[in-house]
Amino acid sequence: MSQNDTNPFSTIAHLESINQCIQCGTCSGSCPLADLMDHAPRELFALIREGAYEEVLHSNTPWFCVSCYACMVRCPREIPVTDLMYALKEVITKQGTAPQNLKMPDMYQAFSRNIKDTGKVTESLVMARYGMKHPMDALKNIPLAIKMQMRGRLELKAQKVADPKSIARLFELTETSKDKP
Amino acid sequence: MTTQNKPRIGVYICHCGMNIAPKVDVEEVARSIQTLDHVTVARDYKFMCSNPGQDMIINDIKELGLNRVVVASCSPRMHEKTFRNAVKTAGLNPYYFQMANIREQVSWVTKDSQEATEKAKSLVAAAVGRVFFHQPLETREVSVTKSVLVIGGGIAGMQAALTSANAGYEVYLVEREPSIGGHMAKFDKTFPTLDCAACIMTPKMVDVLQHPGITLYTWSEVHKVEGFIGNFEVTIKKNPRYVDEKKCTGCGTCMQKCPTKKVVSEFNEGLSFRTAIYTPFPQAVPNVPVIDADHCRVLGQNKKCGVCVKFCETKAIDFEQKPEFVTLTVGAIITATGFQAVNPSGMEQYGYGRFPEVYTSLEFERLNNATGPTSGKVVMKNGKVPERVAIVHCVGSRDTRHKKYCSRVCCMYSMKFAHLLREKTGAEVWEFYIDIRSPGKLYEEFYNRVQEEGVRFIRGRVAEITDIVDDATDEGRLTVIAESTLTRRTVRVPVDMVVLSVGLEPARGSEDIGRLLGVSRDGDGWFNELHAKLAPVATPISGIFLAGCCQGPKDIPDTVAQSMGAAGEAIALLAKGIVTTQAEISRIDPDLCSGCKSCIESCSYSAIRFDEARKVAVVNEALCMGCGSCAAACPSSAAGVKHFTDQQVMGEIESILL
Amino acid sequence: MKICFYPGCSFATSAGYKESTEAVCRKLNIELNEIPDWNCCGATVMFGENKLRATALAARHFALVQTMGFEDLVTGCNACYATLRKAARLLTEDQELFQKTQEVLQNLGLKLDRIPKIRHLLEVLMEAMPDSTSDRYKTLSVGAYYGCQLTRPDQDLDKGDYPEILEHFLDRIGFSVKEHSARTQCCGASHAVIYKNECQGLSQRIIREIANKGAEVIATICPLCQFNLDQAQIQDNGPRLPVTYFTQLAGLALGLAPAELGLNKLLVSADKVLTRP
Repeated sequence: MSQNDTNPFSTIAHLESINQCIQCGTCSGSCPLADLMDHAPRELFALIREGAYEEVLHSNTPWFCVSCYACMVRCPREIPVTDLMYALKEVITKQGTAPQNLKMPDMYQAFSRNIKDTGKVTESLVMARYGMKHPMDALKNIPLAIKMQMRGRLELKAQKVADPKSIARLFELTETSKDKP
Repeated sequence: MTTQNKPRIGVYICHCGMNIAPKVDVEEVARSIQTLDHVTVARDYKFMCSNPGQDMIINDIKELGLNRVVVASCSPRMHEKTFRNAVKTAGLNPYYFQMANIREQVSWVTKDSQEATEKAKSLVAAAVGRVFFHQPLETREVSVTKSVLVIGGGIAGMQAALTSANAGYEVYLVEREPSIGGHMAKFDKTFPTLDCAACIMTPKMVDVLQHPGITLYTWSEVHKVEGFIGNFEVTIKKNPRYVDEKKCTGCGTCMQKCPTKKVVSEFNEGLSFRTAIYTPFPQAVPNVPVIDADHCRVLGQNKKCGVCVKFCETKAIDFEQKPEFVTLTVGAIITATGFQAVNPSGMEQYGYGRFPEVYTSLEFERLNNATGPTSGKVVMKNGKVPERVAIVHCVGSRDTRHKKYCSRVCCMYSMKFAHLLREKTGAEVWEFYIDIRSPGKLYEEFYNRVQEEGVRFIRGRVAEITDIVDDATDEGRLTVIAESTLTRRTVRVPVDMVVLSVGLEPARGSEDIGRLLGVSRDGDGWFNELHAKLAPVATPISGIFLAGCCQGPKDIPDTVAQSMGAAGEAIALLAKGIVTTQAEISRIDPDLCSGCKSCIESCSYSAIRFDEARKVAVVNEALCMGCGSCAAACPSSAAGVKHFTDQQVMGEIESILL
Repeated sequence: MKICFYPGCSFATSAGYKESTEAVCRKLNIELNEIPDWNCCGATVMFGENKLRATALAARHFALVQTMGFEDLVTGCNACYATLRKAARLLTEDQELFQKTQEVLQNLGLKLDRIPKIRHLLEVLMEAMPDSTSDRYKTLSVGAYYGCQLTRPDQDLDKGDYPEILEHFLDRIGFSVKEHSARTQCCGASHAVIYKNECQGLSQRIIREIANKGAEVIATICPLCQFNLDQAQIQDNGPRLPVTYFTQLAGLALGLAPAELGLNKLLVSADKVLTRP
């Protein structure tokens, strides 16, 4: 563990709020997916304060945040936990340190790519792209997809904005990594 | 200005140890000030407030013939008195002194050393510019009325009243509830020694009642406060009891016979009912019931009833009673208005109000109390004894959404509950805490004792309490969810009962009392003490003192100690028998006064009267607090405050600007 | 009433949300003005990828709403609602981000002068729906399910953990409401799609709790919540509760036919509970 490395998260808005954390565990106790995290939010904040940045860069925690905001409305120090999880993901994505074999980053990538291409999300297409990396997951969903199809709830054709190029342009314009998370 | 009076100013720059120097280059400030007109000497010294520091001033006055002194050090709130006394000792009028604050206003708040030095020079120069125009002022002595008003009849107020009365002074104790006793009367045991609260409390209540020096006003409120230290004029409003205290024998028949039996009991925290005519608890002092007008059939509903009248043998019931106003003069006031428990309804994740088996700590105190709704049996609403109980710490405390402070008593009372639960029910007890705070004599030992008794301490703040059933065998139970931060696991503990250890907040109505007394409150609503360390029971209003939780959360030992301290301060004031009025008061120049009376309207202390013969406003020097409202209101510049003359203030400003 | 409506990507393929919303609005004379050429709000994904991009994707709509002459933007999806609100909040708080977003929008030929108020479709119907005058559904007991992102993190519409507005709404339009404790428990959201085994329990716990408290039908206000609760029952031996949209129940209360409301699209059939005398 390299304690003296510069903090890769230092540009995150409101990161300083974790200095107020009293390590009470309300966030982790409120988290529906804490059991899947290697370091639930409380511990992740402690790691950042300790300077264990590598550990945090490779943590799966932010990827399991479901954005339910339960932690955020209960935190007795009003730390914007969910917002910080988003920002951590952004730093981790830009640094390319998301854990290998973790499914969520691939899902996010497929989702984002779908928006970039068409401006809108078509669930079947997101699943198809994601399925290229995780074929078992895609196969497991086929029976459900059939049921959905029977009820007219599966759209296989891409939903699109009128001018998909404008969304692609929006992606390009926001590509610069200098923007603060 | 005569030659004799030609200002010879001595200026003293304090290092304040490491507080002012080295941030401010004190030697440089002294050198620079030395060059100013009328400055005879400018020196710097490590601690001006110390004996050698004061002696330096005294010697210079005597040997160099100084007639004005400036000390540049800390806040005048800290040491103005010290230096005025030094000046006085040397034979000068103490008002020939001015203080410059180069600690709080300079060294503590300025980053750059050079900038700090320059600012210090300006402020010291301003003080020199001001002291040049100072004039000698005189104080006056006023005699003190040898009695004390105590507001609030909880353990704090009772103790303050007893100590003051034992010293031989007349005490008036005002309590808004029907009985004295406050919160402590609701408790069963007290930590860490587990004394029975009633056993140590009720004799004190009786002492208060029987003490010849104490006049008790229960069911009463402070209505108006005027005057100042030594002679406060206080009006007390006695609410109608509808029972004649002199005739009532306290036999209790009226309460037994009253047909209105379903009024929620405040004393039992809503866990039981009382009648419309009632005493809050059997040991109430005075043992005289009150009639709750809202619920009484006669008073509240205009119905025919009169059962109490019929059964009262001494004819003590009096539906015609009206509020009574009593006016008293007291030399000192002790405020002991206490606290109330934080209402946890706002924290919906804990389900208080939704789940019948979620209790607040005060409710649990009553549940556990021999005089409580279950006669001290700790049972659930269904009558069964709980097998597993969770105690949730820090409910409403240490939470920026509610009370940011630690309420200080909850850890200890929570552990008391754990002990009592283990002892009485054998239930498994889980304490969910963030940090255990047990600083106090025998407190850590009590923590250890409760640990030995097998209480399970889980370090984690409870995230949620739910009635969602995850395992059919837990049907009917609540589940407490928290991260056990030491094992990094989320624990889900099915329990029968939950106690929320709610924090403390200022009692309802403290804002009004604060306004009546002119005592300010901090951001959390607690009354401000004069100095956090050195004047913890005094308030910024001379003659008004604080006792107990109204100043901030505290436990019984600290409350009693502080109450005795407050009484001690009051006694010291009364024993001396005289107070010195301040010299910095208003004067109205009769030659300039146009008689418009604007000042009279603006004065909050009723200190200005109108002289009909001369048609001018006149200041009552005993009442004036020197606030300056009249000076601001006066359209003809007739009113002004001594020691804050235009000339003095302008002298100060000019020295900064030029 | 005219509203500016942002349907979001899941609206059209949802289990009758689109049909029921349109039918109810027609009946209530609410003119749904869909934002022309709307795009995905970025949902819970984009803020984790790039804050400026996420803000710009959302803000593109704010500029469009402005050109349509509306002050409010209404959506029926919790994720869209929370995401658009987050963008709106950031644009108000962070001047630098606003400037950068503005530059991006100007590059796309748009301009942002005003940030609309983001509202949920539930708020609109709470105002527009008349009180019930019929007893027809008085015996149909409904459990209201809010999901996470309507009342969190802002809590301005109602309390974050234990809101009550949906209960009040359903009661007012003539249903029997069952109080329960799972109203804002998380269903696993998008994680449920790929972490099926891990998240299945979350949805099943919600359904069991609602059933335990005596409800026969669940009312949802978000396509992803509806989908998760609906599909979780297929692989479970637990109770079977049709998972409807509040708009479908509103439609029934207005006397519309189940088919008109897309109720045939539910995985767990609503026929048994809805075809009552």
